[in-house]
Amino acid sequence: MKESLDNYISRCINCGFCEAVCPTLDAADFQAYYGARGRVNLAKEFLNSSLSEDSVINSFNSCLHCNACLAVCPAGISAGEISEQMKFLAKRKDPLAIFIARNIIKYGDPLNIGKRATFWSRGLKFNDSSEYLLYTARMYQLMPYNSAVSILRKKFGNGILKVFSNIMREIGFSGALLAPFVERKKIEEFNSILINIYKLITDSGVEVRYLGEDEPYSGAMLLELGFKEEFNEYANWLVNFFKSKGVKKIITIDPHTYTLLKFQIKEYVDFPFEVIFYLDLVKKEVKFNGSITIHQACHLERYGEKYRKYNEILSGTRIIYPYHFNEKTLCCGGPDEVLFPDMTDKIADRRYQELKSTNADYILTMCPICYVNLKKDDKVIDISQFISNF
Amino acid sequence: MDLIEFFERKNINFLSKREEMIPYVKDASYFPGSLPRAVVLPKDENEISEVLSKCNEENVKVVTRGGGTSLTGSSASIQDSIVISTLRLNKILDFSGGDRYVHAQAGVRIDDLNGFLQSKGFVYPPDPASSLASTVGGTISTNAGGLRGTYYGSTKEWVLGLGVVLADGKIIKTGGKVLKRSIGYDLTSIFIGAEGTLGIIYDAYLKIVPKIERFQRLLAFFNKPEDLGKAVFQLKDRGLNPLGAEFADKISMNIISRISGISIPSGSEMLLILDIPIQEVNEYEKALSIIKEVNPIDVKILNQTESELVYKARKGLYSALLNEREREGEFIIIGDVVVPSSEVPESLKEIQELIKRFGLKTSLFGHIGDGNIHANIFTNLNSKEEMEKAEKFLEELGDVALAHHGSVSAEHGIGYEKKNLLMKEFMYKNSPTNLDLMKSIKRIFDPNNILNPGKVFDL
Repeated sequence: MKESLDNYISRCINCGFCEAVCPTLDAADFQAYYGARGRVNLAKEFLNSSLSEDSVINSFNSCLHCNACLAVCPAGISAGEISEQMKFLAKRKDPLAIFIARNIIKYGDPLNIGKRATFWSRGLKFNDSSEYLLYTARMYQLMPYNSAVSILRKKFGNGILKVFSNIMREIGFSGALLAPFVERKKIEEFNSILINIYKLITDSGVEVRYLGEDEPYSGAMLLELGFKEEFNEYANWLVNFFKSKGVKKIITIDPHTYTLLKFQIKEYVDFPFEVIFYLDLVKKEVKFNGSITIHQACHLERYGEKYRKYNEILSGTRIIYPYHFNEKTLCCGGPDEVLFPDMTDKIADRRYQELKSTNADYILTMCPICYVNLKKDDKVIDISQFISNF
Repeated sequence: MDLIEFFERKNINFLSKREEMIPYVKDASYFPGSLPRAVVLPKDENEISEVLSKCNEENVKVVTRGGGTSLTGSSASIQDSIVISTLRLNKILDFSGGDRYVHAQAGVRIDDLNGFLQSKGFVYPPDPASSLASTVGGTISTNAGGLRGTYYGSTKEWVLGLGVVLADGKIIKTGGKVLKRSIGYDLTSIFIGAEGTLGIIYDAYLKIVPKIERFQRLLAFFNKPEDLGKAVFQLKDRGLNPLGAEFADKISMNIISRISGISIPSGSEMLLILDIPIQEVNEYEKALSIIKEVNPIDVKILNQTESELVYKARKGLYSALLNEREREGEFIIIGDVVVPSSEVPESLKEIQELIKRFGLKTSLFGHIGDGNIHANIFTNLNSKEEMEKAEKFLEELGDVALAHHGSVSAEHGIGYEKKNLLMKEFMYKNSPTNLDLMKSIKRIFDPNNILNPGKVFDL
């Protein structure tokens, strides 16, 4: 953030537009504490020292930073950005958040799933001398393990999970511990999406290299959970890591990693690599006689650019847009999964119902987090699956 | 039993921690508001009834809040009050295109209502600039207007019936599904524009119309504000009915040009954006010839792309003005007056002179089709001197409107901001009894003065 937080907030005119589009307001049964305007008001009060950190932190932690607020703000401010800055200022962090942050720093992976992140690539051909690095950032691979954490949370409650994470962060953690709770078919499902993505790129004439087990996570969650200094350090490490591997062009395959590396990271470190979203490289026009609806990712619509390359690929298909589309797309609730899982469930359900009400034959997602949250029936598929199949 | 215990016992959803209540203190006006005792989020009219009944018994003030978008302080919280948020009342209950109504709860936001209606080919016409956030209940309570007010009128034209909880907790229903009804005193009307001082609206039957899909947008540039005013009057006087007629002064016109990419002919001081519905005849050609009689510098007929760009620029005008703020603490206070169309030419001229005399950075735009002029005053809220100057300006702006047979408040209501101006308007009409009548009505509906006291007028 280039200007001071005080200045940034002072531009707010309290019009309430942000509150009207904030997904967490509805999910919190309309308590303004959990709405975008409430967050701006509370940040103002916190900076004036009239409120304690403990009393306001849940408001900021629950922010999805989906930037729906920014898209409608007459004064051009983002309550998501304010929440992120407030999370940075917070001295006390949630035990689960600390656990994840430490894993990222220690293992380069929020859940330390190790070589499990590479199973999808078995038998595929990579070209180590290609200028294109296929960077999965382990995102799709992590999803079955995230789901396992959700299952455990539902089974044992948040309290137990926090105690467990307190212990684990001290003695070390391996994703293998989650293995008994991970559904094999989910691993296969996500691996097949990764293979689809790989094939879409290579079938378009682009050879790629892949770093296998060495491939680290991007660090996005450090920012989302409020670990600014740690992210700064991690970003520096990541740049040096890519340099040491001779990387020049990075193909990202999920919106969070794409916008992090393309836009956000530049506030922290010089990032001298070309960042591409994989759909840029796909040379295929889909022919499908039915209809689809698209759940556009917040990060592709409201983070630095409006990314809509997929429209070209899908131009031969009838698209029925849901009520919230393009820059007004509605978040799937994913970013709240760690600290406010109930909110995630409500937001995801609302969005799924909206998409379903289009009666389209398929509901396309383009982010692994959105996919997990919205996958409530077989109509929901990743865009790479759709492009591959038609 | 105190109120908090009461809410707990009745299982009514409430908030009472300071951090939970702070977001309910202010609305979109410059009035700071005060911390309430609690905020209640009722799920239905029965809960509102229980809360009001208890508050009436205990003599506790009650502020109703919808989208919290008031520009005059109508929904700013009062010290030690109970704020009732209507946002959980967010259901569209019933709709009939054939009968031309929609029945919606008070907390439904206007854009959401229209999103629903448009999918069925209809529209609820009142379209205040705040429609993204403002609610059915809030816009009825302030009799909101909007960009299409010249064609459709303001909210009061579109309310068929209301569900209201009175101060003592009684639930009443006025009007309903039918488009006409002649049954003595019009109780529906009494709550429109009452700013939550007479009862709490929990749902409403609203009149709807098929959406007008086809219209032509024109731009006309003028050197003199009075010529722009004359053009609008002539259009209406000669039987044309614009769907929208917006104007912008030089500051606002430059912004529109910047956003839309449409160039401004030299010498232009005022811009008119005109939407003419296309029906059987090409009425826009008639509009064009009328405008050309009033010395425009230039007139442009916009194609589809230009039309969309100009609309986007007009909708984003207030946002863009906010980016013209240069100092810390600077806020834009929006003056809101209305005059008959025939008086627009002279009123605009006088308002421009007023701006020069006060030396306040001010930009004019508004819904000129119905004579509604917004004076956007850039003011430092932290400067007592500037605030006093702005208040004086608003007062004299009101004087201009009154001198030209208009009103001190077109579509933003009275709230805290215009209490003096309201009295002034009645005095100007030599009809101070109006205020006495209002006070008498207030005493009948709310004998303990618990509902939004201190707003609209002081008892």
